[in-house]
Amino acid sequence: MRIGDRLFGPLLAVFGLLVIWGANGLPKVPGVRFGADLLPMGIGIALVLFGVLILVAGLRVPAAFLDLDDWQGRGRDGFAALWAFVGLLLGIVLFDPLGFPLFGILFMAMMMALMGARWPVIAVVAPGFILLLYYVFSGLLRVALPAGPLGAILP
Amino acid sequence: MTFATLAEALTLVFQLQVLLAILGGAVYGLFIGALPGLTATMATALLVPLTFYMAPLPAIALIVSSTAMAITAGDIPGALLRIPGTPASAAYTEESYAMTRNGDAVRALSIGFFFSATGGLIGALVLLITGPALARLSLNFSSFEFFWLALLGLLTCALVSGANPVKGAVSLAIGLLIATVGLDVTSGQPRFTFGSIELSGGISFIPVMIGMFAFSEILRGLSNASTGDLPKASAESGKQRPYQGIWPLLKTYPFSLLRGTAIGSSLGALPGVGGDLAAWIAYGISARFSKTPEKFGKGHPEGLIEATSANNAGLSSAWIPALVFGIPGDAVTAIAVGVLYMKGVAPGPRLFVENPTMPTAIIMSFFVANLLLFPLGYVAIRCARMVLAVPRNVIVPMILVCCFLGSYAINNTLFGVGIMLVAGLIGYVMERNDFPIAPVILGLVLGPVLERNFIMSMQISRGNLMGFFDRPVACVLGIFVIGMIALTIFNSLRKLARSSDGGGGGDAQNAFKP
Repeated sequence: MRIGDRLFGPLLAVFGLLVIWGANGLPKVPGVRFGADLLPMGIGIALVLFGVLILVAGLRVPAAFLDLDDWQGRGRDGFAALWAFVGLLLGIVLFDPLGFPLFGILFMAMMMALMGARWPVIAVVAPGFILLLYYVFSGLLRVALPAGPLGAILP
Repeated sequence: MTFATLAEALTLVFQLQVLLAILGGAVYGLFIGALPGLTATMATALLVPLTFYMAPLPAIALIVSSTAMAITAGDIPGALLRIPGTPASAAYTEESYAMTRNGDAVRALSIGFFFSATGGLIGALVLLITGPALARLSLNFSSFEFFWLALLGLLTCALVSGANPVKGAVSLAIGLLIATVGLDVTSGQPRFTFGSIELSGGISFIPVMIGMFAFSEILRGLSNASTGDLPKASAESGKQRPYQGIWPLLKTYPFSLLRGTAIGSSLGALPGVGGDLAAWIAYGISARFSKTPEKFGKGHPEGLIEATSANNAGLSSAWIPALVFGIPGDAVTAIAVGVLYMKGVAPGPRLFVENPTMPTAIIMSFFVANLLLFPLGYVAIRCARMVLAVPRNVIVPMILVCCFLGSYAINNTLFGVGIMLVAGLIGYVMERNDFPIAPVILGLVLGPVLERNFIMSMQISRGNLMGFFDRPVACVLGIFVIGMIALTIFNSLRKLARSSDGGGGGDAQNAFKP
């Protein structure tokens, strides 16, 4: 997704204004001259200024406002990218009930399938890699990874 | 330090249990550092229970060698998968990854290991000779100097990390803005937390770094935006031996090595900022003064040599304030100081007077640990290049699982995974629109340092900005920073005027080039 400078500049300036508004709303501590709002305020002003500069530079060059051709015609890769995001997002919700081993195997198998890996490879690599990570992280490094339903059968 | 002290320290270090501790720490550090998302701090923290059962010197030697190796090994996922191990290694991740994309993975990793080890050895020598003097100098730095130094690091990064300084500055502002989330560093007020308890703790740089570098790269690799596929081992790279071609590089860029080491050694001694800043400033200076600045960011060894040597030299120097004054400059030295106290060894000036053998032996263990980087690096490079031979449809899912796990493991919360995903999307959009992402990371890491020292300085000078120039070092740093900004603005305006004279041609990308 390519956003033209003529659109990016104003968007950035508006974002800067939102930051200024947010900083302005921070509670003031009586007697403190330089408080929590100082840096965010400065950043907001800088973003507005940079937004204007980018807009000015963008106005000098005729370019599309928005170019969305990143994913056109990507087919399988497009779905893989979508799954990379949605799958990991689902992981936030399903991590505890499914546990890391089951979630990891399902996510990885799906991702590999979408990227065109053959099923025998998936059947070996996905569980093998996930279980290796599981034992390294939870066993050796003491990272608290939920075992989920597979915990009952895993050694 | 006398010759007798040095000899005694050497005898202590060359005891079997100390050498075994150094070797064990190095292998462990290599393993942890090479895992994407795991940090040297985590490696050190996990070692603490083990140190309960060890004598003071082996315990500290274990920490020293694991840290040195973990930080250097963090360059492996940086170079191969674009997942930097530390904020400092993010300074040159783009360069080493570009080298990998060019089919030169072995060369990128060899440069990383060789010059890290060399920088570390020189840094240890500096620590041995000038440690106490450097510590005294660094303790004279007040909030004014720290403010200018943090600003210098941020500006250097913003100006050298992309072709367009305005876009670099926007990235920096975004990093600083992310750093403001959480409790305010001075008053403790919640800022931009939207009532979330997790946001009150601030946003950790690890998930942001994984998201912006690794996840965004995967999205880019799967889209039409990709400039090519994920890196693969080239036929030439497959035949190349680790460290092959290092000697010509050493002969071509000796000054880069020395300058990087000098920057690392001097900045590393500054508590809190040194370690993270040294590599960024070294890379920036290398790009500024290079005869071929146009090659930077495309897999050029010059900046990589200077930044990696600064990184490990800074690592040794970070121990100066910890050993000489008992003031830890970062999390790793804080843990080490804790271990020393636990063992009945109180770090501080008295230690150098009453028991000079101990600090000297600790410094000597740096030498041994850095020497071990050469052979262990050789093995690591041979193993690491196999990663590039893994098919794309296997390695991409593996990287994604590592991104998930690395973001989760830093605090054992899924909040980190959410941050990683959001950061990945932002990183993808930023890169597609030519905004460099490296300044976001440095802004996030140095934001609290910049803000704390700015507010403190404003309070000391009672709001008088001229107070920032009262002290000699602060004045020199301030003039340098202002000169840098003025020069960039002047060059940008001149370019803009030139392109206007040329009939408004040219493109927006070039309008603000320095």
